[in-house]
Amino acid sequence: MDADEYAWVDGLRAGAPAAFDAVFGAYRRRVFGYLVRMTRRRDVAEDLLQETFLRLAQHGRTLTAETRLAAWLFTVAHRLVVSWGRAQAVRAALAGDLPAREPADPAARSPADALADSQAQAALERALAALPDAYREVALLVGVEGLPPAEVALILGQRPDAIRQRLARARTMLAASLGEHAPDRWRST
Amino acid sequence: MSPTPDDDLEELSGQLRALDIDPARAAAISAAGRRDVTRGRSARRFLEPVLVGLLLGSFLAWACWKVFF
Repeated sequence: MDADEYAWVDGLRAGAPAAFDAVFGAYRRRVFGYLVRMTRRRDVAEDLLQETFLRLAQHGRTLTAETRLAAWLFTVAHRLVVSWGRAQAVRAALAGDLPAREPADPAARSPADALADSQAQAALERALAALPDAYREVALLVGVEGLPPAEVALILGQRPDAIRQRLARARTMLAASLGEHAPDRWRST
Repeated sequence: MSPTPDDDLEELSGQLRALDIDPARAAAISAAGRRDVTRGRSARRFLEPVLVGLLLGSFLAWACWKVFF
């Protein structure tokens, strides 16, 4: 944890609005990127981002001095994604045999894919989107956010060796999906 | 030392575009957060479980009264 982060946690514990702004500025893109790529819905990601940071504001005074903000925020975001996924599943089950209002289009582009600047970037977004949720989540938290696998294990409530296995499997699936867009080193191993 | 899967995945992360929320929505979240951080947990969040508890307790007391008396 760097000095800034200690100061932000102290500020949140003291109820300082400036500390909230600093944390929101530092983490909002990271958490939003994770939420968009997990839900594949920009509107849902915006709502979950709001809920994540409002929970931080409401619980700021109860943080401990050693709280790691990245882990705290991604834990809340992960739980919100899980709850949203369950609600989606219940809604789908209740809909029963009714025809879907918006039939799923397997070729539809995700919000992140639509913003891609290059073919390689679009291929990577598609490959990530094609990963099963459990593997995509680990790939995003470790690979994209740079969180240590041990911390990701705590966030997801899994054993560290399970996270390592998912990482290895995610890398294999990504390499297969990326094909010619995979880094050279991946193709040689 | 051979690269681990997380080293490989980190190599890809640089290729992903950073996503950001709509500025108006960001400003709204920021304003709500600044307001909440000074207040902590809202009174409503404290009162709701108390009210539900009272309601449930009085229902159980009524049900026991009906069954046993």
